[in-house]
Amino acid sequence: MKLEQQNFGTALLITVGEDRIDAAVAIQFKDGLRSLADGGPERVILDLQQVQFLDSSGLGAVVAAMKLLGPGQTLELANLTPVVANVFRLTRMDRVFTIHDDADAALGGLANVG
Amino acid sequence: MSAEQAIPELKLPVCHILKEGVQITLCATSEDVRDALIALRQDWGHLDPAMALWPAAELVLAETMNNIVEHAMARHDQGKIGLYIKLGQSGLSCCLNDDGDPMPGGALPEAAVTGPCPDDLPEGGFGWPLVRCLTHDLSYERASGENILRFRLAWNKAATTS
Repeated sequence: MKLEQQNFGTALLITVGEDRIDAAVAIQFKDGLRSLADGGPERVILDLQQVQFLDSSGLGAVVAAMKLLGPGQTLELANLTPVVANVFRLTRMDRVFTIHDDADAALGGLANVG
Repeated sequence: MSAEQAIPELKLPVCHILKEGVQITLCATSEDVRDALIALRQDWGHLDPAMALWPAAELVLAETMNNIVEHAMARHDQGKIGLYIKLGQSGLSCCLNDDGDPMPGGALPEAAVTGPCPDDLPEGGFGWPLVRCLTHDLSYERASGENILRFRLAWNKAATTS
C-alpha cells in the first residue's frame, strides 16, 4: 500500500499511490491511514488523484479511517477522479466529507514543514 | 492424448472474448476479482461501445463478485465464479454464477438507505444500494445448487450516473 505523507503544520497531506482501493486492499488501506494519522495534526487530507477505482469496500475503509481518527481530527478528501467522486455521490458520502478540488485548494497556502 | 498425460492446470481467470461479449471464470478470492476486472478493463472494457458502460459495470461487478467471495464462499475453499457479459442494444447483460452457499432467505438483501449521519456512519452496506442504483432487471435464483445473479447495465442509466 503506497501512502506518502507531507506535513503542513496544522494539516497532514496523505497521497495515495494506488490505482485501486478495493476489497483486496481495503484493510491495508485503512490500517495505513490510521497509522499515518495517529498523533498527527487536526486536519488529515487524503489526496486520491491516482485512484481510478474505488468500490464499497474501499469506501468503507475511508469511512472507518475517519472514525478511527483522534479527538479533534478530521479527514478531508481532495482530487477525486470522476469514477471515485461518483461512488461518494451515489452513497451520499459526499455530504459527509469535505471534498476539495485538489490538494492546493485543501491546503490553502499552508507551507510544507516536512 | 495418452491417458497418462496430465491435464494442464488452468490458470484463472480464464477469459474468452466473444463476438457478442465476454466469458470469464475466476477463483473466488478478492485478489482474483481484482485481477479479472483489470484484465477485463484492458482487454475488453475499453472497446467501443462497451467502454461507455464500463465504469458502472466495473463497480457493479466488483460489488457482486466480492459479495460472492465474502458471503457465498465464506465456508468454501477453491470456489469458482463464472461471469458472462453480453453486449446488446439494451446495454450490458451480466450473469454471475457460483456454487457457494445460497443467499440468506433465498433472496437479495434489500437496499438499506444510507444517509449522512456522521455520528453513526456505516462502514459497510454500501454495496447492494450501489448495485440497485446502477442496474436494471436485477434478479437472483438458486438452481441446481448454484447461485445465479443477473442484471443489466443500460446505456441511458449508466450515462447519467457515471
